[in-house]
Amino acid sequence: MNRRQFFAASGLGLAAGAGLISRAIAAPAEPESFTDPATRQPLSADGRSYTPVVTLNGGSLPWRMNNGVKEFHLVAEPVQREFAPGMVVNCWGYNGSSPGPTIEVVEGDRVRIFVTNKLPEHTTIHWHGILLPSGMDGVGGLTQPHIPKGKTYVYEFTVRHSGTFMYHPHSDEMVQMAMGMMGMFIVHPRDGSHRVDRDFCFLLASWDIDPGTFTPNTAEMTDFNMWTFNSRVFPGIDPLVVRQGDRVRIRVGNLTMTNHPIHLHGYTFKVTGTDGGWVPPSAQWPEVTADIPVGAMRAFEFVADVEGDWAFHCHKSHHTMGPMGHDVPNMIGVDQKKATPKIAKLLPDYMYMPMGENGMAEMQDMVAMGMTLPENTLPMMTGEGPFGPIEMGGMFTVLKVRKDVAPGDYSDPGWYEHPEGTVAYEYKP
Amino acid sequence: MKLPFPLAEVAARHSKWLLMAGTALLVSACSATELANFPDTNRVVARADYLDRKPLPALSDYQVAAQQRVRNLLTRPMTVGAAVEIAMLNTPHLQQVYQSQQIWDEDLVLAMAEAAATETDVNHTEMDWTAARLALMKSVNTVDRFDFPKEYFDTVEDFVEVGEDVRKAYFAAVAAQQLQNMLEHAATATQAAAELANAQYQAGTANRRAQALHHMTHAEVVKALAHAKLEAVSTRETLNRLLGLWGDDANWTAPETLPPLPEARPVFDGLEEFALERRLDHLSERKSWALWHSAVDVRSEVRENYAALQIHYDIAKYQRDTVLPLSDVVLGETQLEYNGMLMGVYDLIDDTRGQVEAGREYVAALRDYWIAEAELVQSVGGALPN
Repeated sequence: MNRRQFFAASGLGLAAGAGLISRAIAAPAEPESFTDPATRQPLSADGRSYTPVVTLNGGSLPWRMNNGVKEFHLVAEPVQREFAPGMVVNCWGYNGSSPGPTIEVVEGDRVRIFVTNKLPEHTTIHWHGILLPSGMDGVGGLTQPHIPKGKTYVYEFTVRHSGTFMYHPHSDEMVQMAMGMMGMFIVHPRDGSHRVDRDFCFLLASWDIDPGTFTPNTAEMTDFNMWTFNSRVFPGIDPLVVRQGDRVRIRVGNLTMTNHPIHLHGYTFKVTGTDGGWVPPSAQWPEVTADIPVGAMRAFEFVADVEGDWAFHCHKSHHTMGPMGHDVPNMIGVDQKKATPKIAKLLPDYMYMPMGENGMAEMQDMVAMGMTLPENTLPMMTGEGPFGPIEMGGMFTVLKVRKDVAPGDYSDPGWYEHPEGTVAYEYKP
Repeated sequence: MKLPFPLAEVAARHSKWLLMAGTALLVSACSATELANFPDTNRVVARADYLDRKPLPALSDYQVAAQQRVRNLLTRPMTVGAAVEIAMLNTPHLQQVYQSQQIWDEDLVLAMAEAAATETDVNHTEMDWTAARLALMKSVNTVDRFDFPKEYFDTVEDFVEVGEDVRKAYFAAVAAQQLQNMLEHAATATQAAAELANAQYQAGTANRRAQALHHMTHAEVVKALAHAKLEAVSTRETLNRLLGLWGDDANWTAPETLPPLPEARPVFDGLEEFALERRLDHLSERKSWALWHSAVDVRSEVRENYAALQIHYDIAKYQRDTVLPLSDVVLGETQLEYNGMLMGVYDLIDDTRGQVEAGREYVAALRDYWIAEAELVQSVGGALPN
């Protein structure tokens, strides 16, 4: 047994390895639970000069100050997450939720994070993008022992750089991330720079959940059928509510296995930050779509000076759909009237209707007419807007810019009431 | 015409007492050489003379009555009871027996109807052989011809065998027709798929390979349907031959379904002993060393057929109560996925065929059950214990 193994075996490995860490650690605080998928109000900045982030359909984890150290308590555990009304998924997550709560600190903070493992297998947490002592990096086997089930480990480090980061397991990583284990880690600048009026954040995830099932298939690499913002799909994703004239930042992290061109309607924005830090103004350029690479984060900013309901979504059209059958025959333009009576006769107890001849939009009409889907399965396109069906699913939500929104108010103002003469209309000769 | 054996020969061949229809009839032992012990020999000769002198008329009273009864039975969908009754009246072989036994009259027709109980229960599957035997005895006694136990045994044995053959043929024919009808649903399904493939090709959404594959699938079902039709014709004609039906009489209607599976699993105690008391072929062997060997065979046959009956019952029940509901679940879930455009119309068609196949397997299992029952009935001497 070498020295390292000795300390690990005696339970002092982390403390001894980190060297500077106090060994007299108080018990962790009771973990805050985040089972409600509604977007929480941001935490208080506690008198410091930053705007706390709003986590879409989630919230930031409250901390406890302990002798100048910000203490957090994360509990890795199986959770149930509602993706949208009508679909609940058996996930793994943190503190009752997938994604886990956002950890929000200030540059220079000393943080101590207790991680209790209530999963059925071991885990770790890797602090993605954060420079810290190597032994705090959270790579199971490489920089620390895996955290056995039932054990609580402590991560402690000083946050040296501000920016947009995330956390996720580095222990049976494929399974644990496919099950939804991830969270945002936001570090605000100490000097009050880069401050905006509204600061939103969320993570992109992909899922393979067969129609009629409840638990993601974690062995999938490419053929996913659910695409989420913070483990929610449209119409379950809350709108981004903004006061007209606000400077807005949206931070997006990508823990899927493909890139996502995130597109905002109307506004141009500039990418002001990556998981590598802040982008110098000289390197920024205006655009309307930010491609978020795999395992990367982007923060982009704009001034929301025009009122309206602005669609905000991944521009891969399949990613704005719910579960789809990719093996269905192509029926576009196929005249099915000869075969239809035969099939209807074979299925006397079933309201058979030929589908797909004129596109797929008819499907949601049929669902609206009461045609049922497999249990726990959302229609692939859905959502009712003020002018009719929105026909979306997956990575889609709405930026709602209003002049009458109070500072700090993130509640949904409803659909935009367009001034007369500003809505597309039917031409009548 | 077959003449009865001289009594001496009969006596030599059979033990002096024999069990018949649960009634022991005593046949006197006698010396083979004493002329006085050859009663009615003159009558035997006289009958032969009579038959030589006066051939039977073309249509006897029996034939008139039997034909009327058969026609009457044929107006309704054929039941197994009706088939057995028709066979008893109409099978050429049995008619020959009746004629030779001179029990060729209207009373026999009535007695058979009573024994078959065709009128009272459409799903009645057993002939009341006791009644049939008594009817036969009565007819024989009427003309005082009940002198030859071997003849009697042969006749009742014929009854039981014809009964078994008819019942097996009946269940095979009804099942074959039903299986053909069900396969027509599958052919409708594959035809719809082929038509959709045509429309897809015309619209440019499927290539000729995909189109051809759907047509080949349909062709397989069309061929299977042709074979199913052949089976339906073949089994029906087997039954027609057993029933002695031809012309318009052969166009009887089959019921749409087989009799239902009985509620309870068939369980019988002491079947081997029951069979040993009733099997006439076995009883006729009691005179000799063959008895022991015969008993071993009877017991084995009964065990085999009884096991077959129970196993076919279990298979049919499993298919009906477990597999069919599973195929319903599969098709139901496919319908839900079709609603959500998660699965396509060909999946729907395939799973419809899956359900049809599960149904056809049930019909085949039910047919095998009833055939197993007919075989068991035969192997215990014509009727199961109550």
